[in-house]
Amino acid sequence: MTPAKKGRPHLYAVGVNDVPPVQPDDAPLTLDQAFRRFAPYVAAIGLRILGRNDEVDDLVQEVFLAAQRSLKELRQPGAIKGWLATVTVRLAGQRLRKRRLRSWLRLDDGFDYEDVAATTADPSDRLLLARIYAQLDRVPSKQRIAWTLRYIEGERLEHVALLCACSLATAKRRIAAAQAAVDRVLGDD
Amino acid sequence: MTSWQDRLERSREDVDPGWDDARSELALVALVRKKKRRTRIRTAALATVAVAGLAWTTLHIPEPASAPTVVVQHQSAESEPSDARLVHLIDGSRVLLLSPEARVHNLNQQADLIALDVAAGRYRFDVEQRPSRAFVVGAGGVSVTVLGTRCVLELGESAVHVFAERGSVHIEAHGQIHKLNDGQRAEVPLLAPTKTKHVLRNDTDKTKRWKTLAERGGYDAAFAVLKQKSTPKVRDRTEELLLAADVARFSGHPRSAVPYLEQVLKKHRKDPRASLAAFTLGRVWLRELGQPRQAADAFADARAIAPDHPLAEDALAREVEAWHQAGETQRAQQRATEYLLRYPDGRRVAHVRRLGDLD
Repeated sequence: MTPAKKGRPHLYAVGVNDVPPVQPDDAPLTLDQAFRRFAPYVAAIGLRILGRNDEVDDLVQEVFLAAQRSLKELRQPGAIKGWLATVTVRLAGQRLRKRRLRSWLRLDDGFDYEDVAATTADPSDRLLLARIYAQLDRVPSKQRIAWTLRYIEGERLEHVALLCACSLATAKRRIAAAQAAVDRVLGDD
Repeated sequence: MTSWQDRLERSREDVDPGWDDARSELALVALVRKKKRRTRIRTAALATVAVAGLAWTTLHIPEPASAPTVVVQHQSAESEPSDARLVHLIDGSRVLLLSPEARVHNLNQQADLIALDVAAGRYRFDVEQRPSRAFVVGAGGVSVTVLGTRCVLELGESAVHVFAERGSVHIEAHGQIHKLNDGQRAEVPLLAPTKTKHVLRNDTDKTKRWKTLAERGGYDAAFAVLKQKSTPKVRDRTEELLLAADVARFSGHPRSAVPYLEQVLKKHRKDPRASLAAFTLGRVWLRELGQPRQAADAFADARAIAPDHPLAEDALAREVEAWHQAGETQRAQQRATEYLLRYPDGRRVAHVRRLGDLD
């Protein structure tokens, strides 16, 4: 692995769901190419963290705007997916913090999370997800993100720590803290 | 693993934003626009800093009294109410909720249509100009199609107030269409008036009428006209059949869309839009009519008509879903295997693996 340049983020350190190089000559992707290929992936992570589909489009655009400067610097285009995941988690966290502030200032009227799952999902599972997301709105964003990545995105603990840019111990603590809040709505589930 | 974890594991793929090609293209357009806007702002900010620095330098360096100072004046952007809430739409348009009770419902965002309903309250619509996309607002039974770039609407107890602040709007109410030009206002009573002051031109061409309404996004009214006995049958042309199917779907009558889509597949299979018709038919059967076997056949047809179409991957994934819902596990597994072979890096790999029982 090529060492990161001093002062630059570790673009190669995140190996989450790495894919093989997308172009035979490993040429950097253009913004358009990267967007068309990876926007669905970013959107999926974004929705699972935010829980609100109407915020996903803005988040996806922000992620690619933030990532575009780094696209040219990636020497391993296959690492783009992991890099985008990291950026998505960071920007989604910013959105969640703003949302909590707005909620505290009574500017966010809440959200009906019944539609966070597809209409084809089992109705009881849809209800469970709706209750969980409503409860997650009350949890600090770092804890929420760690828990969501672990249990809704299905990431391993090590990857959760990578994506959240924290230690494994911190990731576990955050997940446990969010779990305590989620447990209140799970009841006998 | 506890039971709730099992359920989350199972329903993980159901938390899906439904990010399709159309949404991707619209988002990419908005992204490019945002990028240009930020570049302009950054350039303007740098210019301001440079000028401010020059002005400061000029003021602090001893100069003859006659030396001129540079003064830059900026015109501030129009301010929005500080308590306005914003709904961002995927094409870059915005809805400002200007009153506390304002709410947006039934938001439907497609490549050629953005439609939404509003509750009582006051709203401002900042609409991105896109000739190929209709922007339609439903307010208490009144349909407002925004043709310009800014419209203010207030839905009260007894009337809808519409102000075409920039550009024109069409208001459809009580079976009539009114046009507001730039700067004009209208008050539309919510109850059908017993006496109309303005008589619209009597359009006796029913075919043209339902098509015109549909093209403006007035799907409810278009469907009502389409179903009138006096309206001629939809002509056997692909574009007209697809438009009629959209009218049926978007006005909440999915079953009525089926014959139009089937007619395209029966009589116009070589039309480039036939694959899209099959795909749409599959979605109608699966999502709106709960008929997964018919849906699976339609999705298979979409791929058979155009195996290399951009929708082919999604059609195969949905065929897996349809067979799974129909309880045909073997067929679901076969199609899932085919999907994984064809699209090993596909967007729906995890979803297909789960539904095809290949985990």
